[in-house]
Amino acid sequence: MSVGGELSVISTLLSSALLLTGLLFFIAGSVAMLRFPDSYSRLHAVTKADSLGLGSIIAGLMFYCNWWQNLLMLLIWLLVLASGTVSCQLLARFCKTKQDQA
Amino acid sequence: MMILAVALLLTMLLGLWRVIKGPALLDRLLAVQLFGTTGVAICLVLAQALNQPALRDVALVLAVLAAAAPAALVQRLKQSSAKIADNAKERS
Amino acid sequence: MIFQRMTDMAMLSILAALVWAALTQNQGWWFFLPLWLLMLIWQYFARLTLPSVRLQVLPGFIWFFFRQLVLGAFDVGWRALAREPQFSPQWQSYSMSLTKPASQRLLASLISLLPGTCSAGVEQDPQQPDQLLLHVLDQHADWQTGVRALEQQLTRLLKQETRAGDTL
Repeated sequence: MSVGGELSVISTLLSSALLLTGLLFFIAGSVAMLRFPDSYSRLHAVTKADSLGLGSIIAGLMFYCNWWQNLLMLLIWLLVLASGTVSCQLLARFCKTKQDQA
Repeated sequence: MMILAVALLLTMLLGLWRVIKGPALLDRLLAVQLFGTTGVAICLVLAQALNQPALRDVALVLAVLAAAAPAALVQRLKQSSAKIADNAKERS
Repeated sequence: MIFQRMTDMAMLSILAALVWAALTQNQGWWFFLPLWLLMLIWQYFARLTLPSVRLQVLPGFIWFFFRQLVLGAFDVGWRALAREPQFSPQWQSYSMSLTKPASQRLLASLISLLPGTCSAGVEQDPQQPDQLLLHVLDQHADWQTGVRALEQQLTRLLKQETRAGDTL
């Protein structure tokens, strides 16, 4: 069950780089939430920066885990990707129709 | 690893400002969706840092819930706006 | 036809086994066996079909998709962190050449991950080809090429002449 073990220098570096990239994307997503001018532009930030940030963090963590744990994390990532795009569409459509009515 | 989790938590705090300030409902919803994704990432990182594999299952459940929340809310808002329109029709 | 069903069964079994391994930490395979049999029987009688996909195009498609995903995220991140971000958000519509509703939905979902575009819905019009309602971050940028490239990749991936599957 327990993982970890010895990692070579290269894979430690690679995984740290991937984790940091993921963190950067999350920061960019949050900053975009604050700085983007209107709600629809913020939609872009949520769907893109976030899903790639999560993907990058998962890729970084993959160096430490067994194959089935990696598979579970991939499953989670696919779920987040699908739900992100679908709910983005739902929200955009709903708000667009509301705006058109008003 | 722990530092990474704390940093992710800080980005979540940044997003909280949008929830407080958000002019429209859509902004608040989007911020909450951002929290969902960040929460999944934090759970996965903590699962590795604390060596608790069960936290990965927590992350899976969180992802499913984050998928369901916007759909449920949009459905509810549609119903309530339809109700308001009906009331307005009756009154006029 | 029979060959198609056999490959569907095999793909479904592999997918189910992978999900089982992920969710149960690679344990309890003896319980997976009856579940697998049930699933095969269900698949046989309910005539479930997977989206028929040209397998040899799949790696290229995944590669293309990942590149677009990274580009899109970099685009958003750059805009967020730039000192003077350039914005001219605008609603646009794009006429699709895909015909099946399922593949149109798939295109609409995938477009949300492309740089600078975000889809809102499909508008059907009996006279014209179906329109896709898009929100673009920068209307002066060239967003049409990316969308058209994705559409071409999708037409190559999905076997349009057979059924383009309704399970996603």
